[in-house]
Amino acid sequence: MKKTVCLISVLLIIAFTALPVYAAKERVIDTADLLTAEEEQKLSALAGEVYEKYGVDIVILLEDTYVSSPQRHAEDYYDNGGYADDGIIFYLSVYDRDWYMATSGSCMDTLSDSRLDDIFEEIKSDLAKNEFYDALSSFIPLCEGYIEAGPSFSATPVGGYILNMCILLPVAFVVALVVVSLEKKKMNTAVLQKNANDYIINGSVDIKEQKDVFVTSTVTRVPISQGSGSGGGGRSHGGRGGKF
Amino acid sequence: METLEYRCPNCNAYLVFDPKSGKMKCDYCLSDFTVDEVKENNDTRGKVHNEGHGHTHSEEQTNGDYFCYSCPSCGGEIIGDSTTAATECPFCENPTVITQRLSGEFKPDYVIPFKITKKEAVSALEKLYGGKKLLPNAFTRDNRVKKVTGMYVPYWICDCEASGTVSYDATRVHTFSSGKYITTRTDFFKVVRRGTVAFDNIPQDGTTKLEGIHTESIEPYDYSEMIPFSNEYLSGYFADIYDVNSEDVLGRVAERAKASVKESFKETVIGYATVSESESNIDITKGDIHYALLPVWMLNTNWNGKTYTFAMNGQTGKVVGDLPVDKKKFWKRTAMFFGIFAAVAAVVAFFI
Ligand SMILES: [Zn+2]
Ligand SMILES: [Zn+2]
Repeated sequence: MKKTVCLISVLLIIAFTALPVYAAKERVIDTADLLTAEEEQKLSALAGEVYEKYGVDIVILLEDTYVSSPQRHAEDYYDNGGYADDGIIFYLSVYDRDWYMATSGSCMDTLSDSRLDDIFEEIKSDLAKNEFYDALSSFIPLCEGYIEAGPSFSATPVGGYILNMCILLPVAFVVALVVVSLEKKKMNTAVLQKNANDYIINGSVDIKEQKDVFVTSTVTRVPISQGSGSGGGGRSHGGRGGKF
Repeated sequence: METLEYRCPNCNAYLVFDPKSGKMKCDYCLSDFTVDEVKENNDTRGKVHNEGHGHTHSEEQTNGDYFCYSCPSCGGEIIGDSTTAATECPFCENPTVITQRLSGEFKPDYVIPFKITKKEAVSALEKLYGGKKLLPNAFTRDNRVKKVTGMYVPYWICDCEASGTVSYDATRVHTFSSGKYITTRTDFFKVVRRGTVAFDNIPQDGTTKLEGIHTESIEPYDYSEMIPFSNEYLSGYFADIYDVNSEDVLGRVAERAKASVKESFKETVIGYATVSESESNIDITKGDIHYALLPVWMLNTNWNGKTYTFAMNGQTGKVVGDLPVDKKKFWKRTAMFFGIFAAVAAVVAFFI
């Protein structure tokens, strides 16, 4: 009996100590002071709900400093922040009005580059007017919508569908033509022999002289490529960025 | 014109060579005799018919381009062309071997007897036609498959030796990373191979009646079953003597031998990333050339002014054929497949 009580209390201690760590994961980082504390809290709550439901971290990073590569900066921040494998970070800098959205893991598919473009399209006008809270409070539900929809099934706009068909129909025709042409090829099986290999007397191939002479060498040197810019363990990212 | 026919000693019907048993067989009383028995027995030995001057005369009249003589069995007129060495009476199907055509320089050294029966040839042809969705319907009308004929085709069987030198440009590639760089070093080599290759029995047809592309397509023959020529094997089949001299096929023989030499030598150029031939100098020395009759089942069909050939190796059963394509069917099928793929595309487009 004592042992069970002991075990339960240990478990409770672990649970309570784990909870603050979990809560400490900040998803809205506003170093540029663009949001009120209340707004920050609301956005954090939104992002927290998304994490609860999908295990996906939506991180918002607002800054007012110069960075040489917004992409690199956003990706590194996400990679080093201890966030989930699947997630997105939205980096906004009012210093020179850079923005970048970097995706990781499954979000590279659910939040594909074209979807990121669509998302940015929705919040562009708010950002232009410096209405950051409005923009971000629609950013999170927009992401969530796509995450919920999953990677393959997208609410592809009808224009995209027609565009796809414009590419696929000619492909379908070419494939059909290839299939039937292969059938046509089978209609004539006559071919000239390429050689007389069937008639070589066994063991009669007699190489009397073999020379393998080194002539020259060329050397090319290519710098080792730097991955896709993530400083951490070479994680890959998808993403989109620009100015607002 | 001297001709020969084989008769059954029991019932006097014709004896023909049977591919299944390898014997001479009477289709009426079903007796059979080995070829040697037929050769040695006075009763079965071919009956020689020597047509009179009249027909020799008619042959002269036509400059030997064709011959005709009356069938010893039914009296019908049998016509053959300048290379016919065995045929049958078109009226009574009396098989006849024209021995006069198979003498002197036209006497074959060897023969490979038929092993594939007409029945097997017909079903192979039906199989070739079957499932061909682009074949014009009318092409297979008239049950022409029954007209497939067994033909002994004249071949030159050539031995030769090739000797030569082939040079190659070859490269080896090493890739390693050092510091911040990936270094690729490519070594270039000049590779030379000199040697000889010997060839035995390269076959090349000696007739203008068949295209080389068809006779080469049904290669190879199994020479272990090639035997000294004897007239008996021709009974019941068609046969031609050569009308292309052995010298005229040597060019093609050399071409094929050279290709083989290059392949054999290249197999010894190993351990390189890339190998490309830069130069070759190969001499072919011709050896023995033998004249042989090899078995082919064939059917030529004229269709819209073009001849389509079915040929089947009469020993191994290997089949080659060219068939006409119905243009309407071609586009109909393309449209059908397009319909299917377009439907798939319509679904796929929804998901991408
Ligand atoms: Zn009989
Ligand atoms: Zn007759």
